[in-house]
Amino acid sequence: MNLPDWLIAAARRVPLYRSLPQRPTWPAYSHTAEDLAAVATALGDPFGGRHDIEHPPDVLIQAARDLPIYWALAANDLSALSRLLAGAWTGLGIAAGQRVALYDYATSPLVVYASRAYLPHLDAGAADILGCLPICNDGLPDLADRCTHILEYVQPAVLFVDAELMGPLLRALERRGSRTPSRVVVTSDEAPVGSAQIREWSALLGTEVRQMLRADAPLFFAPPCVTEPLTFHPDEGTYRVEVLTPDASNDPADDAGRIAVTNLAIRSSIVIRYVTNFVGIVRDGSCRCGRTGPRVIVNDVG
Amino acid sequence: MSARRDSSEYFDAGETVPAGALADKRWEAIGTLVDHAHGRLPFYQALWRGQGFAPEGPMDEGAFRTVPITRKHHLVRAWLDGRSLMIGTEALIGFDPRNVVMTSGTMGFNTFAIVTEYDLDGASTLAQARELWMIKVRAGMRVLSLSPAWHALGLFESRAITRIGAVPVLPWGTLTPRFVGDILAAVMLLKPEHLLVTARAVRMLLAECDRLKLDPRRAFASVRYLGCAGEALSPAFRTHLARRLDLEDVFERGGSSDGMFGGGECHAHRGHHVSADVHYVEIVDPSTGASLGAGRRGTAVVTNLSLGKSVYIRFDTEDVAEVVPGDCPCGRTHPVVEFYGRLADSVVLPGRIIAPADVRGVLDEFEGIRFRPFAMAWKEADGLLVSIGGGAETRPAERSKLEEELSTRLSVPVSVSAGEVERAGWKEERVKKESEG
Repeated sequence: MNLPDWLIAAARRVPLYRSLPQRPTWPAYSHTAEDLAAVATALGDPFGGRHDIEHPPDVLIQAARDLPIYWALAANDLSALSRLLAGAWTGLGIAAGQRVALYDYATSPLVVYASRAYLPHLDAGAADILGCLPICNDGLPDLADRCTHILEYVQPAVLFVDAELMGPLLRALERRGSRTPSRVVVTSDEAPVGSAQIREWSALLGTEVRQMLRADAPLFFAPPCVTEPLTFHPDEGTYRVEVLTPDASNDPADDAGRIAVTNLAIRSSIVIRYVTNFVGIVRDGSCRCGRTGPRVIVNDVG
Repeated sequence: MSARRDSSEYFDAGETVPAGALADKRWEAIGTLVDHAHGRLPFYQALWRGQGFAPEGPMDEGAFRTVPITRKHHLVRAWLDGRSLMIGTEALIGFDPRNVVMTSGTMGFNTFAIVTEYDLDGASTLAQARELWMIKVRAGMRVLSLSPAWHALGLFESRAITRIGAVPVLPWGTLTPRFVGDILAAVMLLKPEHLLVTARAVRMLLAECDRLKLDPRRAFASVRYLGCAGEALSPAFRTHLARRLDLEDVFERGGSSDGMFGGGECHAHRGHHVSADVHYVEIVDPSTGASLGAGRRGTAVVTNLSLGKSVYIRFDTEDVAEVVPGDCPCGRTHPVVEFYGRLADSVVLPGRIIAPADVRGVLDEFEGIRFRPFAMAWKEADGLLVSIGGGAETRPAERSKLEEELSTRLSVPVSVSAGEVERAGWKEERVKKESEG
């Protein structure tokens, strides 16, 4: 995989990539969430060694739940990320004029880049770019009843919901004796939901349930393929996706392994080969849906 | 990035406009608002028609008092009847809806409101920027903020931080015990100078420091200022926070998702400066609906003076408040409003209201019971009954002294006991007024 010159230069400036443990079977720069935490602790660096000090940050935001690492992001990064999210929304069929509900924390990447009103220094969120109307419920499980209230009165075209909140939401809907006509998009940070679970939720809700692939530590989102199951289309211009296999002698194209993500959208924090917990393969070329570019096919966890 | 000098006392020149000029602008804005509502907003058309009101001529104080008060149950009924997002309070003046926000649902029903770019770039964000500036938020300053995205004031705070040019520190989650570790870690790692949180969150953070055996002064060494929303701060609690966290100042903030208005304290700490060119706050007797002058307690009735969003016109927030009389030494000409808690949690007696903040202020002066939850009830035969929860244990002598102090300060008979106190909602503790028999 060729990395742009600016990224290689930036990688030399930030502490992370010279502080990683040796891993002969993984390509250069590969790192995990545990590596970020270890570098943060060793260097006393809340950014996990990823912040490029040539780009003064406008926003400091925790990278992921239960990961005490922060993004240091400049306004340009925020704009790029919201455009990415808007692209993912478009991939999900979300269009101008639609209402979009978010059942997740206000600090989740799914929420912060959704509206310029949700994040300081963001000039336009995904909803602003697409002309949608967002509402956020916050992400506590005990706010499931309020989420059903939103579904009833706001009548969003789409509800984004963290997978761990599906249980509380289903119970809340059951208490009300109601379903929802809104399409549901579940996400889960580095923990894709299995196809059987998606089908079950769809049957229980009586509506279409889809999944968007999400990894917060590298700020990765990829909308699902409309035809192929468990297949996701990350933005080709932004992400480099690779499969890392335990044995470097194997051909990664034929073997499933952990998916590594390089993020080219953000300049003030450098993400090269963040190794996610997604296990699957990467395929290039045309997809049956008509899209081109690399696609990630994750293993089905049932 | 704002070009405003950090040493400036005021965010903008509008904060010191002479009171007379503010009043002239207010009646002009209210005239426009009432005409718009009467002509175009179905909710107000129906409410006013039902109460026999139609605007006649220009608005002034007397004319405006004839506009019917909008109550929470009116709004809830409109949603229940309409079963849709918009109920006819949306004065969008040609702008597309940009965000939907909610109220906290104090009546068991979360109402909704619409915000447009016009407001996000305009009056509401200006009011919020003034508030943040007043409480010492400055360009380049790291400010820990965890504003909920469902709350109008959270949205305006986000835009106000942008307008000032501060650098937000955003830990994961929300201001609940589940995320106290993330918030404390953010404070220690990223060293913000300012915290915009709730009083409840500060109590959580102090308890977490105790649990981890951390000295709060060291954990909060970078923090100079605290902006505290969610409840009235007692003087003892304020002093306690400043001492334990070694702060330069603690500012109370307040506002309402119902009515979409708020305000913060200046350095004089007399109450909340509410931007008078953005909102008009009246104090109304909850029993008679009569307007009350400065220095008299009633409920805060708010009118938004700008369009481009869902508008609240003479909306009774059901929050106990008073306009603080006199000029403020900070030089701002906008009124100072002090908030004391929810009317539903207060004891309303002929000619006076005893609010939770009154009791809290006395309890917090007693070492063994300070900052603990409490409930209060009024019985004609016995007076005020205060039940203190949180495992409080008071010796008879201390209880007697507490009763005496409360009786003296509140001018009513008071009995104190230890007991269970209901805790509910995101404000953690609700003062439950037990109804008499």
